[in-house]
Amino acid sequence: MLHLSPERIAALVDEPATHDERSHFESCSRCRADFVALRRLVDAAASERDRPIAPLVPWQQLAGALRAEGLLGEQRNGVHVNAAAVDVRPISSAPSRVIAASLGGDVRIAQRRPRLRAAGMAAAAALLITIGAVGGRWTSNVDARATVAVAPGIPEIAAVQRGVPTVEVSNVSQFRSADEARATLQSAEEAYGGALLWLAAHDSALSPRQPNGADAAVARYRKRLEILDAAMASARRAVYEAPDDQVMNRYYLATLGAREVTLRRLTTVLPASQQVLEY
Amino acid sequence: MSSQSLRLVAPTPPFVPDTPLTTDAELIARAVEGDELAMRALWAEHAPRIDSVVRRLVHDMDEAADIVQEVWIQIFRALPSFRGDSQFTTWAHRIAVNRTLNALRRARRLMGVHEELTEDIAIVGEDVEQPFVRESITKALDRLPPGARTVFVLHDVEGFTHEEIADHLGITAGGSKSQLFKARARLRRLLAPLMDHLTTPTLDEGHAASLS
Repeated sequence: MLHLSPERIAALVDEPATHDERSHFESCSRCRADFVALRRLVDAAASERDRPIAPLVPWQQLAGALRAEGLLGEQRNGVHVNAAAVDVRPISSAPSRVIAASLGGDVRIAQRRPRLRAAGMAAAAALLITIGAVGGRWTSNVDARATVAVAPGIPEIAAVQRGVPTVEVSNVSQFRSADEARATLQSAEEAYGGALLWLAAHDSALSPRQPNGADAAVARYRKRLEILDAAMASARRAVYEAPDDQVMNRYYLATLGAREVTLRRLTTVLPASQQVLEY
Repeated sequence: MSSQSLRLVAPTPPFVPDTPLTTDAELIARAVEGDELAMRALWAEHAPRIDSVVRRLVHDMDEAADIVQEVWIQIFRALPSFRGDSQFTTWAHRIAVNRTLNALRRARRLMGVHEELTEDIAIVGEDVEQPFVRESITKALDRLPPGARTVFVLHDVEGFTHEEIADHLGITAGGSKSQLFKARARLRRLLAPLMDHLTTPTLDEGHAASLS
């Protein structure tokens, strides 16, 4: 039996078949299978359009290139901070509670009115690290009670503990100026973003190759998304209430980035027959 | 197609402020003034789409990263001229496609539009697992000649017409069709075990209808 050429069958995905070709398909299972497979291939290709991939260029690299081109100005809406005078102790903080609630505890951060902005900055830094600790705990199965040491120059922050989680910030007085503190924050942000991407790329605990690994991975990523969404809600509220606050904007963007990475990872472990339509 | 969808639902109601936090228009206005936060917010919102189209058109990851950086520089350079006649995402996507094709053309990669297709060996085994279908398609795309890959991505993934593709690549619409069908046929061979695994050789109603 003469078969239709592969290219002709590929064309029939878009073009109408002739009477003879339709008759041939009725009697030839091989050409029929080829056609159905090609139809599936084209459908799969179309669904590729909205599938995100791992970021090709981090913002820090792009920002450097934009500055070199003269397209990126100095950061605006900067907050003058006298970080040397900051003292942070436990009282309440709404965004922190969101994170802590997911771990079954509460986080309290003290605020002294004259130093509110600086305390907010420290709290935001603590939140960034807390999210990192939460993500890292899921990813690497490391006990969350371990102390997390961050990039050089950043205060060590005791990670959230089960039961009675606390956040402590020490060595804040090492900063001699707002610029120095801001530069450190920038460095921490870059380290955080890099670590987040690395963890996402080396998520061996969530490998779909393991027995029932795909289901477990999907469940964990969904859970992570739930918590990140709760954090996002707080961050959005904070940015809405203080739209010029540089720290809260950064916190919002960092959370957004973590959520994006998680969503991308989720799409990579879903079975081919499933896709995220709405979240 | 009986594709099962996973609908995820957030556990808590999303926060909805009384007024929108930011819109693309507001971000663009701030970005034009060089506001890094606004520029970054635009990038964070639209980078996944831009990254995707560039990566699919360019085989080499490092080259794709270079092109993506060029794309964003061009986007921010041209931002003051953005009038809002189309959505920002559409405008940025067009820049990404044009910039990528220009880069490929500079590197003479698109000379391969009329390249002969060689013998193919399936890149997936019989024990293929469904979660890796998409990754397999991406790998198979890397095995296509640059020209055929470009036509396939522009038509079947990005939804360009043959006329638009012809205009972009400096070929005829018929040439675009010819390359597309060859690319599809080659992908079908490269992914044979995978596509057969997913396929039952019967014409369901949808497929039968698409033949008539």
